[in-house]
Amino acid sequence: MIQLIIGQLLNGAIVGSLYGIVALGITLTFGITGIVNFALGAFMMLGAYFTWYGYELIGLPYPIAVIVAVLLVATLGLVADLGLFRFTRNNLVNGLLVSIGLISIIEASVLLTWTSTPKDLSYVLPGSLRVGGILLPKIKLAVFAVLLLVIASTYLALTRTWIGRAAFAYAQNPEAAALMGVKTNRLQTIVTVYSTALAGLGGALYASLYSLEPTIGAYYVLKAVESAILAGIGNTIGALVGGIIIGISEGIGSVFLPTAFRDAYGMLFLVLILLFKPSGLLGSK
Amino acid sequence: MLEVAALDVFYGKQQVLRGLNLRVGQGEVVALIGPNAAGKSTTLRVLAGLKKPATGNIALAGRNIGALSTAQRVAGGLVLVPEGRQIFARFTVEDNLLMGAYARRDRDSSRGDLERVFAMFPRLRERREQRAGSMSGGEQQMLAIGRGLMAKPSLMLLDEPTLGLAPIIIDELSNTIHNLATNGITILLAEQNAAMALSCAHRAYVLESGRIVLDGEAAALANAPEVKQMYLGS
Ligand SMILES: Nc1ncnc2c1ncn2[C@@H]1O[C@H](COP(=O)(O)OP(=O)(O)OP(=O)(O)O)[C@@H](O)[C@H]1O
Ligand SMILES: [Mg+2]
Repeated sequence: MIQLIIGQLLNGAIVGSLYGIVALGITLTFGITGIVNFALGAFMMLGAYFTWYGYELIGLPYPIAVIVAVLLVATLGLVADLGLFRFTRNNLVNGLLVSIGLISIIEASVLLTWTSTPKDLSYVLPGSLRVGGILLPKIKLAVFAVLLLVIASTYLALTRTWIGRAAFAYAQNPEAAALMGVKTNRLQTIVTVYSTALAGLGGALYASLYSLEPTIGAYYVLKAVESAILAGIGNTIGALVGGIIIGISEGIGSVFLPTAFRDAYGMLFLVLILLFKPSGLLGSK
Repeated sequence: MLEVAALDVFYGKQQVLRGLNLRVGQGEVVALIGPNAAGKSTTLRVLAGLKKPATGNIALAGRNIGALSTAQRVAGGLVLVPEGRQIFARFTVEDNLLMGAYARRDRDSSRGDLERVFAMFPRLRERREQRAGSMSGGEQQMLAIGRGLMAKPSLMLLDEPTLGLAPIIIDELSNTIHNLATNGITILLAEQNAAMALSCAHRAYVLESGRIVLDGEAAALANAPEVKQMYLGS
């Protein structure tokens, strides 16, 4: 039983961190560009497929495949920003339309190229660690560690660097930020690309654990939006925490309650939080 | 220091500035006074690069800056303290001030300049850790000016700093402007409060419906009948 709970806790934390970094991209992008970029889910899915392709078909070592996939996704993010999103900034509806259009294009391209047959990576890192009689798969620990590292460095970058401070300043008052000398167009591009890269990384890590299908993006982006709402929209760090909370409540919930309803446990939690604190778990006011 | 020539500015079809000429000499305090909607803020926004003029020339220290972005202008020493303060409400006072140094090459060592701002505005030192949004209007104005100072400006544009402040705070603000000028900062001050502006400034321009209708020594303007009647309420 303990083994099961600890295992589900780790699963929940990993899946939750994946929701969380996509959610972080959603809130960051929204705060800085005024666009709800649902296409981040599709970018995540692309990151997963690129990793699978690099690792399985080209035979790159997994870490290299991950890096290449993230760089590719970031490049596509840059192209999408300069070619599309740049023209829809601060226009919620157009931004939404563009991101939905992008989802169709990306999903259709993946379907065409790689079909809908699920893809699996052969064991990236086999074996388990035994901690106090509990077996923890090495790959899950590694993925979780990388996620934590990325989350921590994003947090540091947002709070300790000038560009991070500029992002927070811009989110509060775009014009005042410009008056401080923030290059606002560049900031928006950087944030859009960073968010896509995060999503791509999420996908690249996902690929080492679960099966790939062209539809995983849609699932993850919905969870990410859920996490962002849980935290209070615009709360960057909260979005991460929100994702982890949802992931863990799904993981733990499905130990004690029917697994078929696992999606509902996170939702239930969300509804409860919003009932008592409409601005979200960590939101102000 | 600042030369503005034949500036035409539009919002859509509406012309807001008409052939505006204006000059601010090195070390001067120059006031730009005029009623609501005269175009004072628009003038300063154009100077700061937030709004593009249709035609006209803007030169800072002999160099044409018309094509520069706001960021480049700030880095070049031209800083706007905007109307309504526009502080970062969720940042602390200190983070607001540090943000003011963003455009500086040596921004990583800007922490030391906090002391200079605190020396000028001791109240800000006491409130260093306070969220800027929870401060009083007067304190926020001090913060907005202090944040502007952190950029180490050579020319500071102040837009309506007296807006919504009590008379006693306005006096304090006059002193502040004198202080800035003594510290070698050139100032262009847009104000509806003509009495305050004319008492601070060396020279002044009167702007009405996008045109300069009068200009001259501040002391002389303060005694001009048109100005007395229209702006000084006597
Ligand atoms: N963003 C905008 N879009 C359209 N019109 C604008 C905009 N900003 C200013 N205007 C118009 O330009 C004219 C000049 O406005 P401006 O803000 O420069 O006046 P002002 O002299 O600063 O007035 P106040 O003393 O009330 O601040 C006004 O008629 C105003 O309605
Ligand atoms: Mg104004």
